[in-house]
Amino acid sequence: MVLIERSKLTFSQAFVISFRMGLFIAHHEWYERVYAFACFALLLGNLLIFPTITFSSDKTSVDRPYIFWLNDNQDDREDTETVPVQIPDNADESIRTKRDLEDFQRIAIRITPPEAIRDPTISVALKWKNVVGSPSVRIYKAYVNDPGPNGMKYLEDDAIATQQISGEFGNAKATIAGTNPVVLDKSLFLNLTNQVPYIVFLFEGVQVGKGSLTFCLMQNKKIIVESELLYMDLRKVTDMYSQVQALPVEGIADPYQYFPEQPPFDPGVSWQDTTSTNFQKPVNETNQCIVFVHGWNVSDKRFYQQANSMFKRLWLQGFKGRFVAFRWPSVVSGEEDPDWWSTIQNAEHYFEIEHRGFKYGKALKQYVEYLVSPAGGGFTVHVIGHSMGNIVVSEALKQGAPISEYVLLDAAVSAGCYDTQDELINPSIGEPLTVPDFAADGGYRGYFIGLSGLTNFYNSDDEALVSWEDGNLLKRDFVFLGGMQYFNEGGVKLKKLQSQPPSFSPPDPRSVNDIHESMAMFAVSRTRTVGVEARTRGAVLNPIDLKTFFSSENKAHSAPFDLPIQYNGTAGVKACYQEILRRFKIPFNP
Amino acid sequence: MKKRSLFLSLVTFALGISLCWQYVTHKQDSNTPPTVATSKRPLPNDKNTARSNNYSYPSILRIAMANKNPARDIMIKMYTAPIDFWGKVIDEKGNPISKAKIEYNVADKPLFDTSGIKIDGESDEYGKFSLTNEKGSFLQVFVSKDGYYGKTGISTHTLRYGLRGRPGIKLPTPENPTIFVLRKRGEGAALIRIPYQSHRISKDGTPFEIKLKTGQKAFLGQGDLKVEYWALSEKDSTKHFDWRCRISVAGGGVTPWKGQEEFDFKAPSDGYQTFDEISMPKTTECWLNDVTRKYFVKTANNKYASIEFGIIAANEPFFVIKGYYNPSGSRNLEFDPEKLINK
Repeated sequence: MVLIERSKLTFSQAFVISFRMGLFIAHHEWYERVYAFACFALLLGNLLIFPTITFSSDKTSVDRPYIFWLNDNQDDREDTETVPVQIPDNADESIRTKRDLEDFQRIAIRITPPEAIRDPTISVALKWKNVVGSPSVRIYKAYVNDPGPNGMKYLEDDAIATQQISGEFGNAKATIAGTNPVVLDKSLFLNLTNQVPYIVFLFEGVQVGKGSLTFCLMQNKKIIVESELLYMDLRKVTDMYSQVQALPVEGIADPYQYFPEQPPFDPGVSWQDTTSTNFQKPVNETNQCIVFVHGWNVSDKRFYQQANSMFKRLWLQGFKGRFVAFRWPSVVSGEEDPDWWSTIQNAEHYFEIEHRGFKYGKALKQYVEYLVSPAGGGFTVHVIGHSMGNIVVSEALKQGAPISEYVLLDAAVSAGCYDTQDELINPSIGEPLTVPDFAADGGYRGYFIGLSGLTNFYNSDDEALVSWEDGNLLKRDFVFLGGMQYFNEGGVKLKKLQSQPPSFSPPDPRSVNDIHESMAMFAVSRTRTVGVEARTRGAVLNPIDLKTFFSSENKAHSAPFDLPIQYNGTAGVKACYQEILRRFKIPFNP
Repeated sequence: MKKRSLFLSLVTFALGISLCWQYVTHKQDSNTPPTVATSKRPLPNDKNTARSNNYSYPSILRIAMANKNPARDIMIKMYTAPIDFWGKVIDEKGNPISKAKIEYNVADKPLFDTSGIKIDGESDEYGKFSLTNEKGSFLQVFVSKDGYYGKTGISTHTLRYGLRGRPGIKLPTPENPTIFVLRKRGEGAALIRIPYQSHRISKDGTPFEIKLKTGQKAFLGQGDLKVEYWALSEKDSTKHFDWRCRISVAGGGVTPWKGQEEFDFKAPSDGYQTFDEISMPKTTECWLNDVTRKYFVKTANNKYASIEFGIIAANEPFFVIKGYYNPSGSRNLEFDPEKLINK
């Protein structure tokens, strides 16, 4: 916040001019308290004819800068981010979409009394000081000129967001870069009144760097007064959270490639911290940690898109702990391919990846153990699993990972794993079942019974999870690479199919002793996934219907990442992330 | 030798012609637009469907190459299963609803991050609608209309054409269409939305008051709703402890919303109690540290609200609240976005 360095003012200037410039960060209760104090101090200062305003705890400082991410992703469509980025959003001087507004924050400039700048010889400017690197921000006039909570509606209200990206509001007013003052259009400030003595801008980060932003009055091209400094630290969003890679990066051999020998139950997994060297632990970081584990066939670009969106959305709801994106080798083809045939082929390799997922549970367990240890930061760890990522998380938890709370998001895991009640049995699976059912026999049912701390965010119409049911049904008939096929005869076994010439005898089958292999490669779930099955209880305590945040027509598998943040207002995407925090026992918007 | 070469050339030529013919006819069949009057394929340049339409069906050759895998055969049959669908939309009293919006999602391939074919439709004057000549494993149908509530499993259905003939698979016919039910909205009231928010609370019973009109903290004695929380013991070896929480309305009361009637938006006129208490001894069999309850609230000045309240008995306890408040004094708490009162 604020203000004038009195030493640079004449007495008369000091009498009539006082500035306050503040970065209004939503959800910070301390801000409102300090703001009230500041108003009082300003009033008192004016009354005493000295702008002797003091600001204390709301100050940013070199050690406690305001950290925000660059707007270097590509939100050129509303339904999801475009990856890989070809034209970053901050490359031009306009706001492309409502979705893009997620990458903007507010900055307000208050001038009291507003007559202070009506002198036609005075111009107004913003400039960087004390720069490290090349910090740069671009500012836009806010459609809602309110430094209070209403001013955040560009993130909550579709109509307001539409206005914010339209007309004069959607076009930049200035780009503040370098260390020279950037003169602002003074007409922006001429409508200030004693009742509304402030103007609110939205800003986007253009270039990485640290610096202190200051608001200046200029006369005859000379700075006659500068406000107090606003310390900022602009970073790439991937430098604001941790990333971890499960090893081996290239994956684990498919179990049917081991024949006649047994595949290793423990293929020797571990983890590697791949966090950017530019990551710095924020001064005010809490000891809460949220680990995000992605799903099946997530390419690098999709991984970062999902992780970035989740980080930003949790951050915007007030989460100030550590966020970690846990990467595991889930990719089938290396690229997502909408081609019909590729999709069929990818689907055939779904269950090899599920098998990997079980194995990488141990890597996640090892990493969570590190996070809760003093060396790892002593965090309380919460985990969000998306889609097949829930195989990894649930297996980690089963192996004893010290996870405090766990949110299953669109989970592509058999509901029967968590709840063995017959009510969940899907009649279309049919009887008699020629594959193992219960975990004791190598099936899914009851495998994750006994886990605790689970909250199930489900969507009964999730199209990907409905599709999962087709693959589940077909699994028993799959022939894998090399003509290998699983069958059930006194236990699950793997055989090599008869090959030419017919007189040649195939080798004896081998037993399948590893339940991960048995479940993933052969067993058929008798239930739908937990991600669509609202009735799942057992190990799952809380069912949360994702449709309450989105709509009854929603069928999207990745709605919390893909939908724009304004979707369904305060009851939509925002509320979804608030609910996740609540389930982690973390107050939101504190 | 020459005769043999000629024979082989002719056979190869004939086989090539045959395969090409099959391929072309297959493509033509795949690309034949549906003829259903009430449903239209979106335009190719529709941004929601551009990706969906950007594929080609597998060629005969490719299928032939894949024939060694029985599961692959079944999968291909599944995702090219013929889809003929008939539906009817009615209200909760059984009256047909015309001009309802119908959204079809045809799963013509395994769906993961990509969607199926999206097709829009509309119900006719008898509430009927249909979609024929499509191919896919399953069809998702979503029915909606302004002024009506929808609900999963009642206003949306998934039909498994790829599993035709399996137990539990029921597919519609023109005589027995799939029934969709929408519930008519009542007369919505002008309400204030109490946004979802969390408030930290003391462990020692220090009261926390809220003004329902704003959802914000109020000075003691000035709020509508008072929340108190007590952590009553240390954690035992299972990390359970005794705790209790009380929610009260001085001069008014709360009554639990039982949840039997989902669309019950009218607060009862009586039956309010001054407070409700959530008590959680550590010996409770299903011990919880996060409890949610729904209430109707009657304030001291005879205003009504419906709230969802949650208490989180964590190391740093807090509670959450959201809902609707009717400042008029009416007991009607049915939300109408058009009548939302901006605080």
